[in-house]
Amino acid sequence: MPQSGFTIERAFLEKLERLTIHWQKSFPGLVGGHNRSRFAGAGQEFLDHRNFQQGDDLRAVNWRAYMRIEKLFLKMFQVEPRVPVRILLDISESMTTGEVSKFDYARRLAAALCYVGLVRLDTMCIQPFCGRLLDPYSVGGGRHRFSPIVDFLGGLQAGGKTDFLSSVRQFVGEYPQRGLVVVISDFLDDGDCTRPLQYLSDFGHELLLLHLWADDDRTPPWDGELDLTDAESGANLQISFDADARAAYTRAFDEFAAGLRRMALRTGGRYVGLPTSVQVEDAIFGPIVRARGVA
Amino acid sequence: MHLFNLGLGEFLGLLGAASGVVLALYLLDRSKQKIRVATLRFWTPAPKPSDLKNRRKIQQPLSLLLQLLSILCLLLAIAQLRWGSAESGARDHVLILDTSAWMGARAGATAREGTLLDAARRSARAWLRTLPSGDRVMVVQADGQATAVTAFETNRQVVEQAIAAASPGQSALRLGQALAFAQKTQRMHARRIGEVVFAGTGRVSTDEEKFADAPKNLRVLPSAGPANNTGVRHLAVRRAGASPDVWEIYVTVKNYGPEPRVVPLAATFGGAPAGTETLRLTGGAEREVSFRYKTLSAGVLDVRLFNPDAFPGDDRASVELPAQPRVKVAVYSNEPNLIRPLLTANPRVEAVFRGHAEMPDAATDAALVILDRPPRRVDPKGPAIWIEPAAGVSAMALKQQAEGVALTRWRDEHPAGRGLRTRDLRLAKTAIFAPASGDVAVAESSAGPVIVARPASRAIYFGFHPMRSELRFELATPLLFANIVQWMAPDSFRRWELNASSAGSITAEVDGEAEEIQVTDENNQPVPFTVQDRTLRFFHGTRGTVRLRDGRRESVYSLTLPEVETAVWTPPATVRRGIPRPGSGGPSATDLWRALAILGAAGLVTEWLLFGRRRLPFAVASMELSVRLRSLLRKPSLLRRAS
Repeated sequence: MPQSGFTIERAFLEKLERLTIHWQKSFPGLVGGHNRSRFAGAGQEFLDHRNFQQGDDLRAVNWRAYMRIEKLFLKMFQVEPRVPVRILLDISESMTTGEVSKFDYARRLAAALCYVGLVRLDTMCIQPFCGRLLDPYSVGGGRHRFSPIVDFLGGLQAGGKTDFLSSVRQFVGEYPQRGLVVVISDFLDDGDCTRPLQYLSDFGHELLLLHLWADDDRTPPWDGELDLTDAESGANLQISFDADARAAYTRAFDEFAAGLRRMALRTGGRYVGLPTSVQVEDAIFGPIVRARGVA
Repeated sequence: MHLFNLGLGEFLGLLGAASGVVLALYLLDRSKQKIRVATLRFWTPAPKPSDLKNRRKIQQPLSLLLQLLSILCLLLAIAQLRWGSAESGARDHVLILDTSAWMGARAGATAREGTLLDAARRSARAWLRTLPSGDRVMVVQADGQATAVTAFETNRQVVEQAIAAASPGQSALRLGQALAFAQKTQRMHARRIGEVVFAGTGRVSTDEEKFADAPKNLRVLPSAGPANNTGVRHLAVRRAGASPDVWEIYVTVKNYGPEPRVVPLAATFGGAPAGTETLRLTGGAEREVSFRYKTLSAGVLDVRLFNPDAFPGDDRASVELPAQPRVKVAVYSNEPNLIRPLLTANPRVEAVFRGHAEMPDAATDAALVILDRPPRRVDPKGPAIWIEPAAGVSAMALKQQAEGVALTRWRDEHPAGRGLRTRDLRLAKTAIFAPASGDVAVAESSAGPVIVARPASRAIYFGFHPMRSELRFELATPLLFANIVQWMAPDSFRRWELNASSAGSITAEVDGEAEEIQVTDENNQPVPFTVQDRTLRFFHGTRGTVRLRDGRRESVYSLTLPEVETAVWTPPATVRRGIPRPGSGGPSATDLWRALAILGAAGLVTEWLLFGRRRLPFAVASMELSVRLRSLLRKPSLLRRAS
């Protein structure tokens, strides 16, 4: 399925078919998990009959019973509520740094999660963001709807500056229905990204944070005099760098990742750190499965 | 201590340029790297001294110093730095390598020991190793002539290659000539005269056996060789005078050793036996044997000695015998029996007789045409004998018909009439010719010429029939026809002499004038020669075939036999012998370039390991230690304490 150089191998997809996206919360108004609902409402499965009341939908009247016993009965159907799974995909400029592009890695990861969800008839929504939310793509109804997702992901272009606070505010406004929110990002925001994520969780969403980093992001290989340029802001920094500085850098990065983990666990969510040197397939069947993101 | 390849100015200039380039590369290497990163939030600068942040200053002086020292070592290695005496101590030697034919003989009893030339090569190499590296050596290959194969070379590899490429020649050693060449070369081209070294057996002619005019700086590296050898010295083949289809074969065999030997000899022609003989030769004896072999066809005559000795090169000789050519003569006559006796008596002539009706208008495939009283005009386009041509039939104009005239004179000026005599010969009836310009009268009567030769068309005109006149009773008649055939087809009467001998100087007796003599090689290129008192001399130093044409004789020299001399040169007692001790050849210098090259390379590798981008962990630790030490030493308290 080639599209703008973005491809997903069929063999990889076949391995994903046995997986299911998991969430832990019971969301208000919906039945959590994968338990079938006993609420009557608009649905496909027949649930029961009741007496017709004034104002009922005439399309649900059982006309065959009326012809036989001359009484109006109304057919009731089982409601099939689905927990929305929304993937917040970071497409900011910082996702393009590193030997292996985090942006490509994130797109492959999003595509894989969408396929897992579609196989289980979940409703998937991919929501790209950087400084704000971009046009989303929602899909559901089975694996045969996967191809448009690949096309959508292939059409995405990386760019822009990350602003979690603005994006989260917009997200909360546009998606009032609670659900599982998978955030795929390097979480490198000039501001503190934990607060907006906390806000998202407080609103009722369950968070699954997939933290991506390139090896260069965690352990810079360079030595000596460095002239650094921030990929998003263009800010410049000239420093002397050596092994001690490298250790300090790695320490700071690990502390930042630990902060994200703590925040996710505190809010009942989950956190998975993924270096791009690990293959997407290994990441899904390794750290993400272990974190019960999928099972 | 001196620089061999570079002057001091050149060296300093090169060093300055290389140092500048290294310094520039060093500063460029330490310049800031521009990197695009995802965020700047985790970056903190390293705790380094402030001077390390400035790219225009030298940040790692040890690294730069190490690089510059390595470059210095490499430059000195390129300059071939030497420790020892100055350049003027180097000497120029001439190595004369004996490449005479005898050097191809086995050095020992078995082939495993190699040839005498192999032994000479080993000696030469051993001598070469004792020389100081600055000495120059010229290699001269000496056999019949001395040939310099290298100039004066310091490059030992070139000298070794020249020694390895030497191969035995075909001629014998001319020692005096080689030594004179070496002395002259040293006088003219050497900066400081070294030794003249002769490596070989010194097998020379008896004239040079006691050669004492050896140069004072001569050194001899003798090679002992085998003494016993029996070989073919000369093979000569010529046609027998009585019967031209018989070859007379003469083989000369010599026993070079002191012991008597019994040697079987066999001659074959085209693989068929032509003669065998067992020779008993006392020490130093030479013997000639002869065979006769009858054949008209061409082929290779091979003479072989069946005696296993140390020098198989002279055990075999072969010459290529040419076929006996025959002149095709077409006779157009209605009375062929008149002419038949004249032609069938000559074995070199193949005559075909036809009637006048078969006479062609133009040329035939015959080399010679005899037209006996032709009834009509023809144009044979080649040599022809016209007998009694009627007026207007031939190109020769008739003056008159005469009867009873006396044949008064045979003209010796023309080859056809050479050596002919008749007395009181009267011709009953003959035509008198009117020769044109260029025609030569062969026989004249009182009334005018009766036999005329026209050299332009190689034609002879008879005014009378030789076999119908009184001439048929004269001895001059067959001689006249033989002269005519020989003049018209000279190749068929050429005398052949074939010789298989050794290359070098050849001496032959000649009969003709110097203008008639031609000496050519197998490529038909002329070979220089001298003639003095009917003795011809020429020199041909390589294998090959040389043809000597001398009038009616042609000698072919197949120079395939090696020239082996019998005497061994005894050097004077004052001449130095053997391999000298290393370093005994005068002032010397020690080459330092190898050590300098290794040192330079090691320095660069060390610099790369210690200061390169992918430095080793221990190197990083050591550098950090050095930085800390330097920072400690900079503290004023420590400086005060140290002072």
